[in-house]
Amino acid sequence: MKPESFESAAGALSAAAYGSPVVRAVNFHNTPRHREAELERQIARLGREFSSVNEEELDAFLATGRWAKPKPGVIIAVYEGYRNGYDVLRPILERHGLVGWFFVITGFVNEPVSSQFAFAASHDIDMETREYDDGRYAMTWEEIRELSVRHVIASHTRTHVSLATLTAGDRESEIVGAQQDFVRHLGRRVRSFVSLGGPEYGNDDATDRLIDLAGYQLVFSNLRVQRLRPWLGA
Amino acid sequence: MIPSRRGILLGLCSSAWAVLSCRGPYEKGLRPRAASERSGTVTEGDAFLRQFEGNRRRAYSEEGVAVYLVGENLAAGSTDGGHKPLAPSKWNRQFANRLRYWSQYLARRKPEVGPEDLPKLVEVMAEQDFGNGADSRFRP
Repeated sequence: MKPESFESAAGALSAAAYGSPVVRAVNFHNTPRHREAELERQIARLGREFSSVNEEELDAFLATGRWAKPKPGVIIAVYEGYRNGYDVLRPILERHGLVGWFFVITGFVNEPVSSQFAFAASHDIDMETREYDDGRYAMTWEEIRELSVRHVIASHTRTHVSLATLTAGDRESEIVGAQQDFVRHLGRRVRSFVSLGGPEYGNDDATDRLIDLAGYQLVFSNLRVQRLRPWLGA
Repeated sequence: MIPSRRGILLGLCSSAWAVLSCRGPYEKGLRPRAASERSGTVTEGDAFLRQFEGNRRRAYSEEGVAVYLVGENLAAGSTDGGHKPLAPSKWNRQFANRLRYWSQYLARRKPEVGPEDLPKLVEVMAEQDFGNGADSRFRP
């Protein structure tokens, strides 16, 4: 149920935080080359103060409330599936021992190179820089498969639209269809899901049913990370 | 040496003072005061408010933005042994108190805030704690 006022929303969140695991995260989107030095400094500091978090560790933390590593964990969330997440951010994360959670818009990756910029412009994917001469702005599935060895690949829907505005069929495409894209290209389902604007699981029955149908285990939203079920494998 | 009655009394008073003075403002439930209430100074509350306003104009596309996410285990009680609600740790208690404190402050200073502003408030807390400009006493 949606809180009606700022005070009631804040009260509900602080009451939940009192007896629930709280996770630190840093959200990245576009990570262009011209910001590489700044990213390096930020990630280096996070790497000194925090531990990496992978899906098994987050799952255990949410299930038991116990964090097993000496330093607290930080989730490095990287949204959209920008090519520079692979080219620029990935090596920095790996130098500093952190795990990236790459929330990929599968339609962005599937879009032909020639129309990726236009796709981005029409799907709320910010393109402040035009740093690639060949016009490819999204990762390739090959790069995503390579990332998945050390990092987390997660679903950020198919076309990055607000689920609340969609018809039932389009909503299914965004939630279940995106999962089907991952199965097709990675050979397995992904565990984690977030949609544009970050609504929580539990706000809309029809959306929740589709999230269940797709088999996602962890739902990220603006203020919460929800563990829906035990993970029974991909 | 056996302390005198006066010595015991002084000792008790200083211990009580030490306990009271060591409690942080979030534990005591004090509210930060606005500059308008304490003219000539920029308070912690004003700085928080300035950062909150700044986040509304933030370039999310190219910045690493620190946030807190409150975990929720909807599988609790299922066969995998999902936990019951945790006994609050000191960290959780402080975090929840700070959240309550700053949300009350924000609601008082900016009555127009709505539920959609809550993530911005949490961002300010996270930014101060472990973001790029982290300078908080509330360190990991």
